[in-house]
Amino acid sequence: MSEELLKIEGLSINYKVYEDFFKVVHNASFRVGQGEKIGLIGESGCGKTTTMRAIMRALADNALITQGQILFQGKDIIKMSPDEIQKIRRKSISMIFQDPTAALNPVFKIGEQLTDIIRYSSQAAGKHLTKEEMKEQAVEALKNVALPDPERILQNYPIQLSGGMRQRVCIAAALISSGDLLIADEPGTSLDVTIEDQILRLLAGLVEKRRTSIILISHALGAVKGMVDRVYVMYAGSMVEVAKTDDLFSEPLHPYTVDLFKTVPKITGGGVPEPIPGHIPDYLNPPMGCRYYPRCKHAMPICDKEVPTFRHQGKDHEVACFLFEDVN
Amino acid sequence: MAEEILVVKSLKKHFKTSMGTVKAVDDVSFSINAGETFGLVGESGSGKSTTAFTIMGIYPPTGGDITFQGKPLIGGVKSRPRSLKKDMQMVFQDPGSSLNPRRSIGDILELPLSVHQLFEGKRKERIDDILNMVGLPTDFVDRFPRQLGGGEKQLVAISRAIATEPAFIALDEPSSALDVSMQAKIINTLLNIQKEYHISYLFITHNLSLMRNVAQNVGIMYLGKLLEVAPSSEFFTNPLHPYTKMLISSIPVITSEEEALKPKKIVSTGEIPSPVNVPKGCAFNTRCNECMENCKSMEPQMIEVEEGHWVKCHPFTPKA
Repeated sequence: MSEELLKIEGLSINYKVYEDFFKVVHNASFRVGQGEKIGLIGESGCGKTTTMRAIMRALADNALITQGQILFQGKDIIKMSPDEIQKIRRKSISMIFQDPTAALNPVFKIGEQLTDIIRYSSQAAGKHLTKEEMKEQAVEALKNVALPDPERILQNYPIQLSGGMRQRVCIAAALISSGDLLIADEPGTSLDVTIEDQILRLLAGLVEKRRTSIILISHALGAVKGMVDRVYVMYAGSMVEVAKTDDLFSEPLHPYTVDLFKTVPKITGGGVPEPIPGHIPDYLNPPMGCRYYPRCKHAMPICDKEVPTFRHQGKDHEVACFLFEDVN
Repeated sequence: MAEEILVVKSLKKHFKTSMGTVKAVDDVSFSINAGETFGLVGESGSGKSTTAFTIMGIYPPTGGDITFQGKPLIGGVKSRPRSLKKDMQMVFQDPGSSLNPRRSIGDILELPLSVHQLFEGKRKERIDDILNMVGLPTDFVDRFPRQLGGGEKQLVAISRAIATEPAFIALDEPSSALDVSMQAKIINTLLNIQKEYHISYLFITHNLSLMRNVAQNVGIMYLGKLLEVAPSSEFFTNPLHPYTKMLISSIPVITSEEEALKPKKIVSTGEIPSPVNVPKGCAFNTRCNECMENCKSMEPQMIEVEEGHWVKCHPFTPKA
């Protein structure tokens, strides 16, 4: 096993709403090794983005971390002072957001936005760059993401670029300050299929070259399959299954994973995708036991009362479901 | 041969802007058989929605003919008889903005019935019926759109479209804004309705794998032009146009059988050019990996290669 970079233990996050709490993330655990590529899949509203935002300490104001720890290189991010977390954002972890249009400031030129990032991240690394050096780095960053004519793009406002180009700018910006970990939150979802393909290939190449770890969140299960080493499946705020990518796609175990794969239409034809009956639970009163219990075809009496823990199933394959016995 | 319900012939829709004329739909021809689904695929900005809007009459066409149930459709929605609108309905992409936020679901569903004077005296029953058809509880009539989730809103939009018992529905990306699981539910509902009431669909999406499973015939659009039309099984097993091959090879898949079906990896490059300056010759020549000399100067013709399989690409054009 490679060295651990990030370890989330028993994380729970609630959102304060009027007179009550949305209990969204519930006892989630997660591990990223040095240089490892991780996928995170699940329906929308399953707490994927909330978990990732917790790593960046960029949660909304009404979010409360009720328990658990997020260890980054051995230090708990939740307990860090604002200065420390700022330093981490500037040089260690960065995030690509789902919507590149909302992630870029519309009233500043791309060049200004990139040089700001370069200035602060180089300061965090203890270097002081001249204006020319910063511009050089900005051009270099745009070249890395295969944008044509970087000098001109530095002078453009975000509105002058297409969606694919904006997402490339966001990737360039994220790569400047991502020393150790890059979090990509559905980087291709708002783009066309050919552009999404280009963006994901680009990300894979850059991550490979720089040996950064990456967490890729996506609805496009196929995209995840082609790119990552290990996949976590998240349902209603908890991890329900984790396995090596090939194992998970060839032999999904958790009923939710099986059902989720069935919803994907196949290009070989063979009929209409099958929906999962029901919806994700009401986070005000989530089920006591396994949160998938109300929708599960294999539900047993115990599922309603107890929360299943992770059970080992072969190498690196763990599943949180009472159907399986721990084989270790 | 099944009966054709809708025939579109060299349809054109151009918009004049300060930067020049945008040929949003340029010379598009296809036909839809009764009770079948025709799928229109393409990247954003390729003119799929504009095609649907023009057929529905939301935009009056710049040129070309549309024939519906044997009768020609002339001009925009204002010049069409009301009885025709009863037979042609549309479901929009974003259910959040296509339902009136100040009307209850009951009001929303009653409107098409009262406009077309249908089910006089039995409207309440009809509304319950159509809610049942899409699998929504009947007590939704007293709810407002904001109280529903995205998928439920889309189901309401679908039940509004089927309220008048139409023969044809244009579906503009009905499931794109939704989650995979909800998407599967919407698609299943639509297909069940189609089977039961023999409705024809024009189905617009950019999700090719979904298209494979719902449409009998597929057309692929690029910069306002139709590049290839084929029966959907043929479309995936024997794609001819380089753009189709590029699209299919970009689909991310999850099983190895699917992987085997995909054409050899064609690395997609470039982005869609601006529709104001469509490249000369073949519109796809800037991104095509099989581009030849005459692709840049001459626009290829639509050729029927096999029965029902049309392609617009120079290598398939017979030598004159």
